[in-house]
Amino acid sequence: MAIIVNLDVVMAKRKIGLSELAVKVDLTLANLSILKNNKAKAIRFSTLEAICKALSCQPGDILEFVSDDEE
Amino acid sequence: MVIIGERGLSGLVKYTLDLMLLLVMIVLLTLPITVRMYIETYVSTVGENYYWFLLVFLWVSGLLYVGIVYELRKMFKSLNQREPFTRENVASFKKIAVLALWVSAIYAIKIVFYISLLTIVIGMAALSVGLCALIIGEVFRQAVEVKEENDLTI
Repeated sequence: MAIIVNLDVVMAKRKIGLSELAVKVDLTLANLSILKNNKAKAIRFSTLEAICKALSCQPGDILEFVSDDEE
Repeated sequence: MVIIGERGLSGLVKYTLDLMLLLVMIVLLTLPITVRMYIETYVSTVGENYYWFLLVFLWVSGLLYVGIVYELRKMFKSLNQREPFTRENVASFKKIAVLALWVSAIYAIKIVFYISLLTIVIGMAALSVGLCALIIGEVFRQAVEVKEENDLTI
């Protein structure tokens, strides 16, 4: 996929665990894992907003575009 | 009344299907005797050929019917667990469609040899069940895709 979720990088910087973040953004652990492991097909703006708020970062810190031919 | 759930209407239908499966088994096992009784009571003019034709005809269509009820049972089980939109159920719909179309084919054969009004009615019913199952199966396949997309939207 051309869009890569770098959630684990930001989480490591903020020193926050998966379960802790799940509580903060009000997601289930299973859904957050799907997002972190790049399995998600889409992300709601409301979820993105909650994650950005919880990690005090920008959407660009979490999501990255990599062109398919470069891979 | 609860429609979907173990204790709701779908749970009740599942138990009915269990009962039906049992009854069909009993009917299939006692078929040689009942067909003989039927022929001796109602049909006196036709010979031994008709007995064997009716026996094989009812046996095969009965077995196909067991297959349909079995697949329906599987679908209702998943429905009771509130997980109806699975690829297994799409496959079940396809199997039901194929089985019902075979039933209608067998009834068509009987119409050719020994025509009766009831045979035509049941044959037409099987034909429409088969076609409907084929179409609902396709609708279900699209529903499964939508559900997957929805599940993977975080």
